[in-house]
Amino acid sequence: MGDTAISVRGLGKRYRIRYGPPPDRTLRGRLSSLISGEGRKSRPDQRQPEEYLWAIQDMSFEVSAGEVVGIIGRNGVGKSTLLKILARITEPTTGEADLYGRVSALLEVGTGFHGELTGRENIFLSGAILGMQRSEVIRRFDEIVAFSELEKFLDVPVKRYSSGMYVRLGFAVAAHLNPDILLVDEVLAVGDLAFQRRCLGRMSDVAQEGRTVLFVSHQMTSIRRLCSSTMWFDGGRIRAVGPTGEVVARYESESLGAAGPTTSEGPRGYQARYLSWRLKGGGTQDPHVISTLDPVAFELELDVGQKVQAGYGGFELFDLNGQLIWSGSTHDEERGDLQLSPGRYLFEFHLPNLPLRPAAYRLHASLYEADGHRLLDDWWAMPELIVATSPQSHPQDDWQGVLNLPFQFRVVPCEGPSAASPSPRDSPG
Amino acid sequence: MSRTSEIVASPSGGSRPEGSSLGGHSLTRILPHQGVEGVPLREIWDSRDLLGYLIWRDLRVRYKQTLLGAGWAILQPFISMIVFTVFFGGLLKVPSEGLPYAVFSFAALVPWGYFSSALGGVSGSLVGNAGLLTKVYFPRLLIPLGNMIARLADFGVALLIVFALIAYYRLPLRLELLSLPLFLLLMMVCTLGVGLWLAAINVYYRDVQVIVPFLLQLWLFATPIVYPSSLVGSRWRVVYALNPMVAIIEGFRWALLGTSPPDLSLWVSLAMSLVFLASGILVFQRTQRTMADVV
Repeated sequence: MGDTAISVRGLGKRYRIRYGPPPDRTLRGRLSSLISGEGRKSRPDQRQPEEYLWAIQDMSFEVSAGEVVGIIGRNGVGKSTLLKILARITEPTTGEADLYGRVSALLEVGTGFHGELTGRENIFLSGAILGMQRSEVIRRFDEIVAFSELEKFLDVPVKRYSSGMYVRLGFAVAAHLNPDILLVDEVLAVGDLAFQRRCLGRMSDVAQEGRTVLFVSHQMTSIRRLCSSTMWFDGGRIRAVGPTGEVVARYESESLGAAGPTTSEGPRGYQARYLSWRLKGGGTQDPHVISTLDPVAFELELDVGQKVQAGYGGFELFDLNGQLIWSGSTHDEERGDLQLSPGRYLFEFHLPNLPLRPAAYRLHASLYEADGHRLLDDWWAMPELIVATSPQSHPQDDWQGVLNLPFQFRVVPCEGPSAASPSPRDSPG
Repeated sequence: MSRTSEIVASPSGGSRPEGSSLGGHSLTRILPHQGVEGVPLREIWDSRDLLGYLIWRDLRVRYKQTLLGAGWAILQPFISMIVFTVFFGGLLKVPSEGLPYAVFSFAALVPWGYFSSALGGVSGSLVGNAGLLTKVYFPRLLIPLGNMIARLADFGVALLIVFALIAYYRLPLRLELLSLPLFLLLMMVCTLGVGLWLAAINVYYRDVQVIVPFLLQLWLFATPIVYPSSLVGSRWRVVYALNPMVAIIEGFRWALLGTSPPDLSLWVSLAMSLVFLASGILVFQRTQRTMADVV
C-alpha cells in the first residue's frame, strides 16, 4: 500500500457565472486578451462585478496505491469537477495534483462512439480515445465482445443499437482498459439489472487487481461494496472522509432524515427524562455506529427527578422512512411496572445481533406513568444509529431488503430426471 | 514555459508513459497555468495511434449514407469548373494564359476546394467534437490536425481528375510537377494556421460558423482561381500577395500546367502561413485550458 497514487493539494476550480461589463465580452477584446494573456485581469471601472462560483475549493487529500475510494455527495458539490481536473479535461484554478501512473477516466459510457460506425469499428475508436494501444485492443477484442454479448451486432452501425446495447458496448470497452489509476463517474447506473451486476462485478475485479480507483456514485450499495474508504463532498469541500460504512451512513442520515430532532422537554419541573443513549459492542469507537453482527446492547440513561410510581418505557427503532423496525419495552409480566425513586438509571436492551441493512436509523424512547397512561418523556434520540456492516445481500440498492442476514447458498442436484425429460410430472398415473 | 501537465518521469519505450523511476510509475502533475504554453510535440507523437483513428473516423463517416460517396469529391469542383468555364471563360472571356479555361480553372479549384473544405472542417472541429472534449483527455491539437489531414483524401481524388483533364487536352506532363508536394505542404500549413484560429474562437463565439462560408466566398475572389494573377496590377501585387493562397494557387497551376510561376508572392505566402500557424497554435494552446468548460 504505502505508495501514494494520488496526491491533491489545495485544489480549487472557479467558474465564471457572470461576465464583466460589455467591453470584456467583445470579440476584439477577447482576441487581444487571448494573445496578451491579460483577459482575466479585473477592471477597475466595473459596474457589475463578475460573479464566480467555486465548484471545488481548497481540496486536499491523498490516495494510496491500490485503494478504492468512493466519492459521494449531492448534485453540484464538485464530484465531477474533481474528476475532470484529475482527468486533465479542465484545468484547476488553484492548487495542484500529482497522479502516479497511467490514468484513465470513465466519465461516460461509450466515450468517442460515433453513431455511423459499426460496433466493431467503435471498439477500436473508443479504445484509442480512452488511451489503449491498437495492439492492446486487438489482443483484448474477443474479451470485449464477449463481455458486451453483442457478437451478432458487431457490423451494425451503433446508431441502430438500442440504448441498452450501446451502453453494454461502451462499458465493455471501458472495462478492459488497463490503467494504474481509474476515475469513474456514475457510469454503472445504466443498463438493466443483470448488466449492472456484471459491471459491478467487473469493477470489483478491477479493484482487487490493485488498481487505484476514484469512484463517484449515487448508488450507496455500489459504494459500500467497492470502496474501502469514502469522501463526502459538500459545497465544493470535503465534508467527511473515512471508512465507507460510517461516511455513507452519515450522508444517508442527513440526506434522508431531513426532519430535525425533537429533544425532550426542558429541564424545568420534569418527573423523569432520558439523557443519552449509547451502543455497546458495536465494534467501532463511535457509540452510535454498529459494524458487526455480534451481540449488542443499547443503553439509555434515565434521569428521574420525582418518584415514578409505576412506570413503563418503550423503545423503538425506525428507519429514515419512518418504518418501524423493532421495538422493545420495559414491561414484563414478572417484573411488572417500574418503581423508580429520584436518581439516575441505565436501561439496557441486549440483542443477540442487529442484522439491519446498512443505513441510518432513528431511535425513539418514551416513558409513561401507568396511572392514567401519562407521558413522562418522549424522546427522539439523536444522533442516529448508523449501521455500517458490509451488505450480504443483493448488489443493487433496489433489492436491498430490510435485513442484512448472513447466508450461504449452494446448488444441490436432485435425484431423478428433469421435468422436461420424457416423464413429465403432469403425466397421469 | 509550462504545460498543462508534464510527464516528469521518462517513459520506458512504448508510446504511453509506463514504467519509470518514480516507484515504477510516471508522474502526471496537474497545475493551473499562466502565460504561453509550448506545443506538446512529444505527447502528440505519443498519440499518433489516436490521430490515425481520428483521421480514419472522419474518412469513414464523411460519405456514409450518401448515394455518390466519394464521387462528391470529384463532382463538386467539376460542377464549379463547368459553371466557371461557361460564365468566366465563355461569356466574360477571362484570359487563361493560353490554356483551355476548363483545365485552367480546375487546376486551381482542386487545391481551393481542399482549402475551403478543410478550413470549414477544422474551424468547426472542436465544437463538433464537444462530446469528446468534455469527457476525455488527449492533446486537443489532434482534432484539428486529424480533420485537416482527413480532407486530403478528397483532394487526392480530385487531383486525379486534373490529370485526366491534362490528358484530355493533350497537355504535357511537366518537370515542375515535382514541386507539387511543397505547395501542398504550404497549403496545409496555411489551412491549419487559419483553421486553428477559427476553431479556437469558435469554441467561445459561434459567430465563426456563420462567418466562415462568407469569408471563403470573398476569399475565392481574392485568389487567382477564376482569373490569372497577371490581371492584378503591379501596384497591388504586394497587397495581393499578403493573401497566402495567392502563391499557393499560382504554384499549383505552375506545377500542373506550366503557367507563370509564383515570384516574390511565394515568400510572402510562406511568411504569412507560418505567422498564421505560430499564432494559431498560441491561441489554441491558450484556449484549450478552459475549452471544456465553455464548449
